[in-house]
Amino acid sequence: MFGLKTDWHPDVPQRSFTLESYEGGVARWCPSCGDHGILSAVQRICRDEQIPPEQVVAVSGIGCSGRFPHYMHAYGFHSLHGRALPVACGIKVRRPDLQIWVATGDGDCCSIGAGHWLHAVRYNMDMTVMLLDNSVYGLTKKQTSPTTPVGLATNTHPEGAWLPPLNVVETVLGFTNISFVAKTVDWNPAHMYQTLHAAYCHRGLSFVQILQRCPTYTPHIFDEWRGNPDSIRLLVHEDGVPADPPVAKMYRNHVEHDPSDLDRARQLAADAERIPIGLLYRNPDAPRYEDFTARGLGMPTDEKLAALDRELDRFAI
Amino acid sequence: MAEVPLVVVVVQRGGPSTGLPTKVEQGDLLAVLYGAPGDNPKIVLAPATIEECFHFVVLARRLAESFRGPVMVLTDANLATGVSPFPRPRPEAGWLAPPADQSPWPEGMTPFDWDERTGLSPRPVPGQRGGEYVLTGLAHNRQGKVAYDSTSNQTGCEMRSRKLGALRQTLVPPVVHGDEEGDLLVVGWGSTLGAIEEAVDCLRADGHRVSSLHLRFLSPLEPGLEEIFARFRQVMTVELNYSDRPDAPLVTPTRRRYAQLAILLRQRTLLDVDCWSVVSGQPVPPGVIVAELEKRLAALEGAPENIGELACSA
Ligand SMILES: Cc1ncc(C[n+]2csc(CCOP(=O)(O)OP(=O)(O)O)c2C)c(N)n1
Repeated sequence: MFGLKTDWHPDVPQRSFTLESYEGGVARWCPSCGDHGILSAVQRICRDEQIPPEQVVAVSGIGCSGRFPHYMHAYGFHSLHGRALPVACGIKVRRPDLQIWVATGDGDCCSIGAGHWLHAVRYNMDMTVMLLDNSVYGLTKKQTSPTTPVGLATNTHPEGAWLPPLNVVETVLGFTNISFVAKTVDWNPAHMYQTLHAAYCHRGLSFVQILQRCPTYTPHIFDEWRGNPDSIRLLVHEDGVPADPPVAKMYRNHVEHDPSDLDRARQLAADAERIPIGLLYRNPDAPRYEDFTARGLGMPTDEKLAALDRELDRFAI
Repeated sequence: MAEVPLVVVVVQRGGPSTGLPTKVEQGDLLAVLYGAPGDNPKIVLAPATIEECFHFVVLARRLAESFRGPVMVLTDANLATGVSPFPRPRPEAGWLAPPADQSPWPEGMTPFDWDERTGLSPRPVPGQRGGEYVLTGLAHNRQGKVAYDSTSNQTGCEMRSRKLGALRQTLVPPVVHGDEEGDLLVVGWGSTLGAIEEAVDCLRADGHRVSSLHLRFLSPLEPGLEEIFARFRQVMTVELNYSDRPDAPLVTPTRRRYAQLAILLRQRTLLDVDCWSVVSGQPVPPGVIVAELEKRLAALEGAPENIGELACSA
């Protein structure tokens, strides 16, 4: 009657979530550490998307970044150094229903975890991977990381790092089966929110490099870009990360970039001086590993047993 | 530490290092038991036949879930690459993991609600409302919160260790192959079952008082070993891993490096368990075992009866 389906029910949300719903322990990062802002952005996205906290899993390795799950009210896995991505993949393999946020550091992801990084990106499982890039090993008090700029004095290179830093996004853009690669900066919360939100909405592995200030060990390394917004290229496109008017006004150097254009993305990423922020690349059609591994998840017991029986029949004589 | 169910199948091949990568060895027992920082009690099963490999995986999955932790299934290259017929198993519903529990988590229950006696605790599964917690490799308390105080780590280690004790309570003593008492008891594990029993049968047919015992649970060890061992004048292991030969230069009974199960049995029973082991990379033929056992039996049979000697020389 009244043209309604018989199973219609008023879609009144039973629960509603506020920012507090996602607040875990009191964050113990240094005051003014960029990680605080990244945590707030994730909590805001969870709130805005009204994700039930029990559906959220925050996964990390070891480092200052590794503390991330402790400050979320959600399920969390603070794993081993470099192992955030394999743990996250392991969860997703059989639990595609969960929303996974991975917090990893430039040491965690690009040094000890580099092997996993390459493969996890290629597996393209649906999760948001945030590289909290402060250009040093923060937790262990300033050793050279793969992204440390040449000349920065650290405990392992007291006279300054010797080698040119790894260009993270350029590297990821060279991996196979990438589906979402973006870059943002923690000192622009609006852009960071929009970037992480787009990453969350993307189905597949969204990799976001976040330049993250470390007030204790690298307070000045981003000064050039912070003091001179014109040295940053804001990637804009209707399929890209939406730029709020204040963001668009602050970063006047707009580059119209179609995120399906991989060659152009690589060119933009390669420029280490005028860094691009926004969405570099997106391919919604890249195959996702969990679409294969989660097959048969809801299969009833008798069907599973019948399938097992068929398998055993192949060996029976 | 994480206390998540996990089944790990370890297929041992010849070491050390890349060693004999296509050949068989039983050289990883101690690495599997102890190869990690700090104390990390885990269940270790050693199937002895290809048929057992099949059924032990089902058992391992159940144990991993009941005991909320890792279960290692220790096999080797022979078991993994061999072929042998066995009765066709009939799949049962109990083989399968139950669907993930997604009912609300009981209010007030902590994620590590360790039972004081058994160390067991129910596990919140992501998706369970109210069970949100952070699983961390750092020392933690019952709430799952990082805890560096002077008691939490001690408590956590004790609780995880108690789980092995709880499992041990449910195990039954292993069955001796051959007579329950005699001159020599040969203890083995894993894929050497057939060769050891054939060698023992052959010697028994010749009138020797020798029996064998094959262990399936290596952690926790099956109960009753002390009582069984006490009924033999000598106990030795036969294994496929390295041990010093008793007559090698600079080796004395107290300066000898023993085979891996022998090390475990010596420390468990405080008895002078002997061993014979090789790292040839080959499955050991029954005839070679017969020849080794004959030497020991000759010494024992020539010596006067002295049931006490096993314990005394320990
Ligand atoms: C296997 C292992 N190796 C080394 C360490 C020591 N360690 C802890 S954190 C860290 C580096 C963290 O740097 P990064 O990933 O950049 O994270 P940040 O602390 O800067 O957020 C290291 C080397 C460890 N915990 N585990």
